[in-house]
Amino acid sequence: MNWWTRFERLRQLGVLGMNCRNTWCILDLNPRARFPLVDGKLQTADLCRRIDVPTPEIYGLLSSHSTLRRLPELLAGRTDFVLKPNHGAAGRGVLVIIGRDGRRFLRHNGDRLELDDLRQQASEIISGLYSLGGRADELLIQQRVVPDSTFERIAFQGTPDVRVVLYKHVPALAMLRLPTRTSQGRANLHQGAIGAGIDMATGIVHRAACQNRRVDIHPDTGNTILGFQVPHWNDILALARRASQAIDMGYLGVDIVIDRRQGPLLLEANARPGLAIQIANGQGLLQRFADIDRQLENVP
Amino acid sequence: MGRTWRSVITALFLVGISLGIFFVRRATQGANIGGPPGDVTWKVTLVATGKVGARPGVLTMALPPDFRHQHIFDERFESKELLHRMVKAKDPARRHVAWRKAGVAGDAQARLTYSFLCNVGVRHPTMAMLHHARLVDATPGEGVAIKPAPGIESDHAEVVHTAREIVAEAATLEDRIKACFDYVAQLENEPSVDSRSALECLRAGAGNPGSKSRLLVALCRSQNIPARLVGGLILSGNKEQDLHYWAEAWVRHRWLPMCPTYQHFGQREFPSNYLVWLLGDTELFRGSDPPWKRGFLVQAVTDSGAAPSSLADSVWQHLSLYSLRPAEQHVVRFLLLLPLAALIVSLFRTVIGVYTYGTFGPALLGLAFLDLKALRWGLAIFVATVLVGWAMRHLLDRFHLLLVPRTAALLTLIVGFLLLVIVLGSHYGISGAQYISLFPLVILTHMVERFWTVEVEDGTVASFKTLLGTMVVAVTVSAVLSPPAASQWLLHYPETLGVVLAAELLLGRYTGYRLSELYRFNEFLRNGNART
Repeated sequence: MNWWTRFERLRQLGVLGMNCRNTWCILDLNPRARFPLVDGKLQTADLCRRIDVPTPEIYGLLSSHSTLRRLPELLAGRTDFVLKPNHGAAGRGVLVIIGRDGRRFLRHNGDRLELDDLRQQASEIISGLYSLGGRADELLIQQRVVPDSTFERIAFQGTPDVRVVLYKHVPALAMLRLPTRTSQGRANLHQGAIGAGIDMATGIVHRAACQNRRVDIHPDTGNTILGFQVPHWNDILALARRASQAIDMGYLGVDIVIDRRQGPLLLEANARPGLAIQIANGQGLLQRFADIDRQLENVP
Repeated sequence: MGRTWRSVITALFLVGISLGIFFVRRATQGANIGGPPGDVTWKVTLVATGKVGARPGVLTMALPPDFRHQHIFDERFESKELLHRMVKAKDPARRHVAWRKAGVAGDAQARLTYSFLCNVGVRHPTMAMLHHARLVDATPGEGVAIKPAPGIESDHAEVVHTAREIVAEAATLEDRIKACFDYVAQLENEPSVDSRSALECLRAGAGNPGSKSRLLVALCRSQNIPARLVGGLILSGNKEQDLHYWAEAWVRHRWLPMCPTYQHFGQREFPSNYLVWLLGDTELFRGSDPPWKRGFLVQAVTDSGAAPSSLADSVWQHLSLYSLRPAEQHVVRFLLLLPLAALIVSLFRTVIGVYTYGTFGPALLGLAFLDLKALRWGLAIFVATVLVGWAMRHLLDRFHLLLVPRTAALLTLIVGFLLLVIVLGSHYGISGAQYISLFPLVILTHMVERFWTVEVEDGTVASFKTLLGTMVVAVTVSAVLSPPAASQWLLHYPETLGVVLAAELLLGRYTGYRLSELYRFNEFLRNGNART
């Protein structure tokens, strides 16, 4: 297939490309002034509390190196928690602690870490190593989400989440992101996690892709992904809609985790959601945008 | 859509303006005007061949000063075997360029070409020209231009005796200089086959321009009159030439030019087509052993007319980048290339989808190796440094250092590595190490840090892919911008930047697929749409 036929075919299928996403979607639909709401996880959490959307609890925030000595105090009595940069992206710099082994901390992948290791990670986060643009950042200590038991079959370590991409506050596409061994427990597609396309009407996984290629079974657990029913599906969609309206961006990705006890929790929102969701669903976003535009026109 | 149209219309507008300026300049001859008006614009080409030995391995070439009423512009340096670098001198009027061997080749024959355009007899010198003239033509310091020098035996008894005889009847200082001049001027003229000293010239009663001028200088100096030898070209006709020599004597707070060969004496009757190249008894080439063979070609380029004939001409003259002094022209040339390099990076990133370390890092890297001869070495050192830096970054990781001190430590280690490369290179006679000075070190350190981050987050394959992308972009930048024609064009038609800006605007609203995406979405193309 030559370049031109490929180009034309992708256009016919309504696949959204990176340039198109950056210009039409992000620059034109997402006002710059609203970015702080989604770039900072703390701000997103505040917003969630205001609009009454459930979100993981924040145990503490450290914003300078000098406050690092408060770390042991903040962690005292906590067996499981997550350290993450307030302005991080793509799962960078996130450290998930799932338990304790004496003085040491147990990571989700089985590593045992000393308090000093945590302090080092915290210091790197505050220095801005993982933040967007390398600016000085803040450290968040957040509640660890215990994934719903139904995920055990199809997730390898880490926490799976549901990414919903909304266009003009209408859910356009959704996918379930499943961590793999390659992604080291992170639910990020470009790090090797599986993206499983979800049927918008039913919440059932109908297709899945890993590293831009189609897969049917989870490579690490060996179980089939197709046909998986995402629990609390309607709640998830409602939650995403509410968040999108509050954030007021035309093109938004909302990440929702499903906690065993609390149900769907909004983890974070993303003003620059990636394009792999199209591969996961086998459907182009531009096509969905056209559908939604038509829908919105019909509703006065 | 509104924004896209706005970009398109603005881009069209910019292209229109650029083309407009371009054609108006061509129509009004504005494009041909270089620098302030003089009598004629001349093109001077110097070709030299010879050997650069292993030590010192540098050939220094004096450049004509941009001063008094002579303006130098559009300088070009070309050589297959040699790399050139401007030497920063304290005295901006004494300009030099250093030529070095490219690569490790032994003392093979090398050839260099240096050409420039110049206006002599400039009526309204620029501030920079006046400033340089003030520096060069300042009152000679105590003992300067007065002591005997090799070839100028002003303290020799015969010279002193002759001088006394000549000036016996002269009353004033001018008369004494005139008497010396008249004496030397009436000696037989010879062509320049060999160079004789002042004394030899005096004894033979004849000499070439160099010898006669040296004798004139020696006679003046023996009379305690500061004098100096001047070397340069007589710009006339379209012909080959060799360096011509004349002399200057310090009288009444200024240098009085006199050419004993063609019998010109004093500022007023001195022809304006004498181009000064060397001041004092300096050599054109230093560090050349055996001496280099050289030849000069002088061509009249345009008749830029006496005074600006119209308002347009005068405006173009003021706006022309050629009016700048040569050193500034070199800076401007580099500056003009930057936007083009940035455009190339934008093309790679938005149209092809190549990932690079940093946005304009590759552009600067490419510009650092504009000289394609340097590219091979530069790239090798670049890759080696990134990889070594990356290994060091792994070592540093064990220390758990804070971000800023860690980056500083990394920089120190990289500098240490580069020092090692320079020392070893110099020890084994590899001249590749000289390119290190061109390196934007901070960019390099940043790239190492990015390399490490990408490796940790996206895997080793991704980090090497990005490294490859960075190199491809840097090589393209240097390959596209290295032909002298590119910078020549921009210097001549700076309005091209409008077109570059327009291209950047259009690229900024390019919404088509990136070339890499045509393959990223392969799954779609194979299976089509699952739902339709």
